[in-house]
Amino acid sequence: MTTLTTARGRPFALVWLSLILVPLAVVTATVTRLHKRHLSTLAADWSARGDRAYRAGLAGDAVDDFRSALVYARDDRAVRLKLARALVAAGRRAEARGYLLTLWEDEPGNGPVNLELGRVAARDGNVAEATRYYHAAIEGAWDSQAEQRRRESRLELVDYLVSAGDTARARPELIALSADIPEDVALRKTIASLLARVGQTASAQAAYEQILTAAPNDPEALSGAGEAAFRSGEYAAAARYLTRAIARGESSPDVRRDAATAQLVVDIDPAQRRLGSAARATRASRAFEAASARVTACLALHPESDDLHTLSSRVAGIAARAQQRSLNAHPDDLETVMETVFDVEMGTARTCGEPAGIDRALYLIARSRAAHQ
Amino acid sequence: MTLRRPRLRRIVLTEPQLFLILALLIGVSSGLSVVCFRVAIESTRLWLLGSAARPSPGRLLVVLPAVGLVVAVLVQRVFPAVRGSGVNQTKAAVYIYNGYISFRTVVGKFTTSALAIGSGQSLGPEDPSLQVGAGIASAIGRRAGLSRGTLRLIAPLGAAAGLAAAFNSPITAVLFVIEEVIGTWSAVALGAIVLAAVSSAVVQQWFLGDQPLFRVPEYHFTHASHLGVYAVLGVVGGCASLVFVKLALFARPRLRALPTWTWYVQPAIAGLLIALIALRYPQVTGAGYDYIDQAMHDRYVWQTLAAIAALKIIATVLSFSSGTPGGLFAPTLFIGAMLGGAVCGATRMLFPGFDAPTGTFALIGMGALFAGILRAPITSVFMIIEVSGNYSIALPVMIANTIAYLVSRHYQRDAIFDVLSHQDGVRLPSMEQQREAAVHRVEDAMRDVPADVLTSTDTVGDALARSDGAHAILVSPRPGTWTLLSVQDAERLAADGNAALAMGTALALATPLPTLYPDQTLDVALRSIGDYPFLPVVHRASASRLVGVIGLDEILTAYRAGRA
Repeated sequence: MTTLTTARGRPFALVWLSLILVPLAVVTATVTRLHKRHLSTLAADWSARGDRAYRAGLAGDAVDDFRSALVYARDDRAVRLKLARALVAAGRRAEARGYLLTLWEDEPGNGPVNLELGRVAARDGNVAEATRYYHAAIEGAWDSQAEQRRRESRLELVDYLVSAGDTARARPELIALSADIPEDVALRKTIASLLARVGQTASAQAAYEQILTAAPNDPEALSGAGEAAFRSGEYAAAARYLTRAIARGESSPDVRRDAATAQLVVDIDPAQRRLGSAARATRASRAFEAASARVTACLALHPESDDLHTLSSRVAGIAARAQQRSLNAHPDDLETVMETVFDVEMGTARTCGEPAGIDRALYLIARSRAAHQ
Repeated sequence: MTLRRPRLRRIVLTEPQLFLILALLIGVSSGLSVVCFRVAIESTRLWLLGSAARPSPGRLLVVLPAVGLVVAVLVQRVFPAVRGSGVNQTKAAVYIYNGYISFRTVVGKFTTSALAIGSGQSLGPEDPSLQVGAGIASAIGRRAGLSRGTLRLIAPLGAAAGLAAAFNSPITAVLFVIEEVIGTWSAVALGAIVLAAVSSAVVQQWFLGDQPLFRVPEYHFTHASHLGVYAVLGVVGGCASLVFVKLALFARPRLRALPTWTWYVQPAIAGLLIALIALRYPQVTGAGYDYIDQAMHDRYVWQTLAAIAALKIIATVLSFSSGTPGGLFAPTLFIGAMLGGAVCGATRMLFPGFDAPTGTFALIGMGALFAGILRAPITSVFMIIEVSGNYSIALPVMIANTIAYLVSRHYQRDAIFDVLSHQDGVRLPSMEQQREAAVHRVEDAMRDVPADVLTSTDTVGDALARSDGAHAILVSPRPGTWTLLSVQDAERLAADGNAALAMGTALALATPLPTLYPDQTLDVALRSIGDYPFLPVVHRASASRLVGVIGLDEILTAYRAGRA
C-alpha cells in the first residue's frame, strides 16, 4: 500500500478514503436491507406456522414456532401474545405468565394481555389476581370490537367466579353485565343461565321470559325459565314452562323430573289459587295420607328416632280430623293438617333423606313455605 | 488559458487535525464493517443451523464439528494471526508493531469469527469487532501517512469504534479501550476515540436500528435489604469468574502444547462437545443475546438459569481454548445474566417476600462477571448504566462489581488477557498492574526543613554565619518565592562590603526555584530537579510554608527502596 506522507498530500488521502466509504456504505445498505427483509419473511412464516399448529391443537409445536418467529421479530407484541396463549394451552403457565407480564409492563391497560393474565391466574386458582386482571381487561384497551370483547371478558369472569363458587363476587358482575346487553339471544341465554347459577332465580326467570317474548318456542329458554321458576318455588309457572319445553323437544331427564314434580306440586298443593273448599279438603286429605305413610316407613327404618316418634304421634292424633269428610265439615282444620304434613315431610327428609313422588312435592311446598316465612 | 492548481493542494493539515478527521472516517468505516460482520454472523447461522429457534439435533451434530474443522484449517493455513479474541492482538499492535495490523488479519478475523459464531461456537462478536475496527484504522492510518507515534494511537481508535458498533454502547467502548488497551487518559487520544466510537455507533444504529441487544427492564431502588443480595451476587459472580478464568487458563496452554496436527481438530472436537450440550440446552450456542433477553424477562426458572450458566462456562472454555476465533465479551455477559437471574430466583425461593425483578439481577450479574473476568471495573459499571439507561442502578452495580472484582483479583493475581499474552510468549503491559502499581510521592522521600533557611530580612553576613559547611543556602527573598544562594556568592558579596545587605535586596532579581508539593510523584520531582542540589517542598495552601526539601539522592534512594 502506498502512503501519502507529505502534509500537502493529506487532503487527497482524506478525499480518497472518503470516496472509498461510499461504495462500502452502498454495499452495507443493500446487505442490511436484504437481510432485514429476509428476517421479516422468516418471522411471518414462523408465526403463520404457529397459528396453524395452534388451531390444530398442537400447542407444543405452536410454542416452538412462535418462539422461532420471535427470534426474528423480538418486539412483535402480537406474536408474543400468541406465544403466551400457546404456552397456556400447553400447560406451561409459569412461562406464559412471564411473557404476559413483560407485555403488561409495556402496556398495563392492554385488554387482551390482561385477559390472558386473568385466565392464567384463574387456572392457577388465584381468584383475587384473576379478578384483578379480568377487571383490567374489562376496562382495558382493545384494538377492535372493544364493547364485545369487554362484555365477553366480564362474562368469562362471571363464569370463572361461579365455577370457583364465589357467587357473591359473581352477582354484581352479572348485574353490571345484564344492565346493557344487545339483542343477542345466545348472549341473553348465557346471562340468564349464569343468573340462575348464582342463585338469582327471579332475575334468571325474568331474563328467560324476556327471551321468550322474542322467541316464544325456544326450548332452551322454556326449560331455563321453568327451572328458574322451579327454584323460586313458582311451581305453576315451572310446570307450564317445562311442559312446553318438553313439547318443543327438550329431553333432559332433569327437566322431565322437575316438570313432573312441579306438576305434582300444582296438583297436590291445597293452597293453590282458584280452588274450592272441597278440592282443598281432598288435596289436604291426600297429602295427609302420603305423609302418614312416609312417617311410618321412615320410623320403620329409624325406630330409635324420638323426633319420628313425636311426628308419628302427632299424625295419629289428628288422623280423624284429616279425613276428607271432616275437613269438608271443618275447613279450619285444614291449616293444622297441612302444618303436620309439612312437619312430617321436613322431619323425615332430615332423617331418611329427600323423598320422591308425592312426598317430594309436599316436601318442596314445605320448604318453600318455610323460606317465605 | 492557464491551468489552475487544485485548491485542495493549498490545504495543509497538521497531524492532530488529520488525526481527528481520520477518527471520524475510522468510526464510519468500522461501523459499516461491524454492521456487515453482524449480518454475516446472522446469515451464517441461518444458513448453517436453520431458522428455528431450537436447531435440529442433526444440524447441531454435523455443523458445529464440520465448521470447526473449516475454521481450524483457515486459521492454521490462511489467517494465522486471527486466533483468540482480538483484544491482546490489538494491544500487541499498539505496543509491539507500531499500530500495524495487516488487512489480511482483518479479512481473516471477519471470516473465521463469522463462521465460528454463526455455526454455534460459544463466543461473541465484540472482541473480533474490536480487532476488525483496529485493523481498519491501522490500514487507514498507514494510507494517510501518519507518523509512527500517531499510527500507534490510531489502532485504539478503530478498536473503540469496532466495539462501540458491536455493542451499541459508545461509552463502554471508549472506557474499555482506555482502561484495557491504552491505559492512559490523554486529551488528544480521548477526543479522537470518543469521535470514532460515537460515529461508529451512529452508523450501526443507522443501518441496524437503535434496538438494544436485549430489552432491559426498568429498575427502581425499592428496599435497602436488596443491597445485601446484590453483594451475594457479587460473591457468586466473583467465584464464577474465577472458575471460568482458571479453566480457560488451564486448558488453553495444554491444548496448545499438543501436537500441531491436533490444532486442526481441536475446534471440531470443541464444536462436537458444544453440540452435545446444545441438544438439551441450545442457549449455550453463539453469542446468546436473545437468551439474555429471555432470562431478563423471567423465561426460565432459577435452576435452569444456573445450569445454563455452568454449561456456558464449559462451552466457552472449550471454544476459546481450542483456538477458535471469537470474543469473550458476549459469553461473559451471558454467564453473568444467567447467574444474576439464578441468584434472584433462589432468593425468592428462600424468602418468598423478596420482590426484586429478575431482569435487574441479570443486568447486575452481567456487570459482576464483566468485572470479574475481564477485570475492567470502571467499564463494567458504566456499561451497565449505559445499557440500562438508568443511573439509579449504579449503587447495586458498584457493590456487586467491586466484590466480584476483588474476589477474582484475590484468587487470580493476573488478569486473563495478561496471562493469555504471557502464554503466547508476549509481554504486553498490564493495565491492571499499571493501575495498581505503588506511586512514589515527594512526601515519602523529602527530608526535613534545613536549619539554615533564610528569609528576606536576614543579611549576607547571617548567611555566611549559618552556612555550616553547606554549598548553598535556601532563601526566601519574597514571601512564596524560593531561591538558592551559594556560599561562594555570599562570600563575594561580603568581600564587596555588602555583608549587611538584606536577602530581599541582595536576591531581588534572582531566578526563583521550582517548588514541589508533598503529594506530587517522584517522577515530577525528578523532572524538576535539573542541576539544583535540592528543591523546596511547600504547602499547597501557602507557598511560603516550607515543609521539606528534596534532592536527587533522596529521589533515587526512594526509588531503590520501592523496587526492593
